[in-house]
Amino acid sequence: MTMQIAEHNSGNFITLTPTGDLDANSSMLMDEKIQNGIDLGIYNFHIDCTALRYISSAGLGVFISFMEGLTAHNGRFVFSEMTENVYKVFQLLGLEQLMTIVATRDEAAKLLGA
Amino acid sequence: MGISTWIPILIINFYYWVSYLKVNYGIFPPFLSEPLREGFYAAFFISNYVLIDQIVRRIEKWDVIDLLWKLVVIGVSGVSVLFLFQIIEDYMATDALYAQVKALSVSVKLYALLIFCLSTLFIYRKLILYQKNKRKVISWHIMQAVFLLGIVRLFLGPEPQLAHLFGGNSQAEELTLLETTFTRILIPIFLAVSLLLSANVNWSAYLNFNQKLRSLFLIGIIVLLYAGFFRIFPYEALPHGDNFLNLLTHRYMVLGLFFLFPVIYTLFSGLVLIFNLPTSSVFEQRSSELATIQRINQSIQSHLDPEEILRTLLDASLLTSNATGGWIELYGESHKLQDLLVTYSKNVEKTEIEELRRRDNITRAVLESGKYVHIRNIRNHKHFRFARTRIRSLLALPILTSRSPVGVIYLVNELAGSFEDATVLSLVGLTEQSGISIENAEIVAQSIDLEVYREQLRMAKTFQKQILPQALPGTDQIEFFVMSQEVDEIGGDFYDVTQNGNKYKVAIGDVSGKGTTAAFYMAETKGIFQALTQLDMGVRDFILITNKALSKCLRKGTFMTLTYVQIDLELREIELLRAGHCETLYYDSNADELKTLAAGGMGLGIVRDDRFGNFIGEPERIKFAAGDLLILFTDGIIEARDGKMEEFGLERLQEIVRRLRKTDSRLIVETLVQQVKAFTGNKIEDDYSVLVIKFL
Repeated sequence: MTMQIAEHNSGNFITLTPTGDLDANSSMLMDEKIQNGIDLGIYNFHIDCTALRYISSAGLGVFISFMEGLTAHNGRFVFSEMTENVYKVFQLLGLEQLMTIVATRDEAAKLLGA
Repeated sequence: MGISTWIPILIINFYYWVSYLKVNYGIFPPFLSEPLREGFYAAFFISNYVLIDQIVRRIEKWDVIDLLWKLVVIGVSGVSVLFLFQIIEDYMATDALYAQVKALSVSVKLYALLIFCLSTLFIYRKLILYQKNKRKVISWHIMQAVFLLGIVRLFLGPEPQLAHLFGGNSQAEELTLLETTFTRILIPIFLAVSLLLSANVNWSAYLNFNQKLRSLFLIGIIVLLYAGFFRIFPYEALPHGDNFLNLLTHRYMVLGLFFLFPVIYTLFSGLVLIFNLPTSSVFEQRSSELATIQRINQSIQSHLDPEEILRTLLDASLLTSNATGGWIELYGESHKLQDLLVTYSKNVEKTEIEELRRRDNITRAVLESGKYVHIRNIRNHKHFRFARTRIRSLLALPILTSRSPVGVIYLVNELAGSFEDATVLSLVGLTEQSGISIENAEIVAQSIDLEVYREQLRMAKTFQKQILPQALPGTDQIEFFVMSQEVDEIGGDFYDVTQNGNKYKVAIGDVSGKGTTAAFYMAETKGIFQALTQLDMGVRDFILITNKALSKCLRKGTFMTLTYVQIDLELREIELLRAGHCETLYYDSNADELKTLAAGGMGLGIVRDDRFGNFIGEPERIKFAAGDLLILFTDGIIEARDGKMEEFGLERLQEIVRRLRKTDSRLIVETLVQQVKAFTGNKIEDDYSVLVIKFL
């Protein structure tokens, strides 16, 4: 199953909308998209999880690996529209304490200063 | 050809001799009347036709010279027989038995001619039908039909009166309309088909100059032999046979046809050979070039080293073209055009190559288009007009694989226009073949690498199996059962149990990611687990220290989930903490209740400093009783999905445990695994481990 990640640059943050399963294979693509943003000097990312059906540990690993780097530049990940399944995975791992998870896109945009 | 064919043929031939003498000279009493006698003559022609056909068919070796030689031998024998009998006739001219001798002589001469004509006919058929096709075969069948009609002609017209043989008056009877029609229809068809068949001289193309000369010589002899037959032939023995044209229009026309067709074909092929002689050397050169290229192709294909292939390509290209020198420009590792390397060169000065490269980048043009560049005269080329070089003509061909360009081969000559189109085409074929061979060599090298990698993976897998304990310690107070399965070559699941007197320490976990690195992290975790469980510490301390230790070795972005349990059989107490791992099920037999234990927090390696303590929470403590169950598992169980992408989920797991709560740990594990497999249709995509502990 190929995953697609839609990308939208709002200037001071980038919105990434993954569709399908974020697993070991597709996490490479996510990694690349985030790195591209950082290369542009953007450290704030909105991850719109509307269409994200499943996230594996490798998928989570991508966000974890970038987290520290973003924090160092006063940036962060803001997740929105998470399905229950995906939220459960974040919660089990204790990531909900570490990352910003909000209900809606608008909230995310507001947090990132749109 | 069996005896059953030979005997009728021999009988018919014998009758020919007997009847000839009888009919003409009354030596034997008449024993056959018309038209039965004509039937016998027809059978005589047909049987000899079949006889020679069969004999020639038996020649298995297809060799033009050999076939023509056979024909010459037959012809010389035939003509010799004719001469011999002519001499006998002349010698016996005044003898009393002259009539009988003459009759015998005539029939022998006719027979010799017939055999020679038929031999020629069938040997030529072998040549004509070389590289058979439908058109040729049909033409041949038409020819056979013409021969058959010629034989039918035997039955028409008046009986042969051979009085004229001895100077008697030949009948001047008119031909009937039917007889004339026969001639008028049959002869044009015969001539047309003869010409059509005579056009098939393809075999001559496969002879070299020497062979052509020899064939021509033999064909010359065959022409002479026909002239000999024509000259000595006893036309007078046949009614209206006083010349060849009469032979064709009268009763014995089939003999004329048998005679005429080989003559036509002989003349035709002789002419073709004569005309082909001067061009023959060109064809020979071309075919020797082709043979060389063929050999080189095979040699290139057998190489497995790309460098070797390129070296052979350059040598071979110089050999097969009339290039005076050449070189190969290769892409470096970087695959950038400016990094082209002149790797091999022959008979060309480096300075000349540099001079040309400085003036125009042909390599770029060749590699970008994938097509060769041929400069017939570089003095007419806009960039090279003033180049300081002795080179006049230049050919640059791309060496390509299906994935990437390899480089360009240059061939040069100090004369302008020295590469012919045909040479260029064969060089294109050669370089294409080299590209394919290089690609094959690369594929072979890659598959060797892959095999090495697979072998390492196999070792890692064996190694990982050894990390996970196969037998777990049990007593009369506690019972363990575990099942674990890796889906890929190497999984990321981890579990271990240690026992220290009355204390058991159990861990189950999952390293993010898979493959060999996962196996190393597992080994690391096992080391930490085995070391820390020797010390007396609480579960929270265990998790904190393990996080610290793992943070030192886990790659960025890699983390691990772990559930750690300490069991004290003396105090009958369990202490459990979850670090990012999925929940644990606990069956409380007294309350007959299945609980979900979720105490704990973050996975290991996510937060690598002291802040981690803030995210991990406090452990859960439970007093256990006999009949209680502890069910530890990894997410591969509850995240297993069916065809509709629905997850197996915690609830199905709980239901199974609830149903089997009164049984033993083994049955619970085995049932669970079986149910998960059934749920996914035997296509579990993730690793899974289940560890069930029953307190007794």
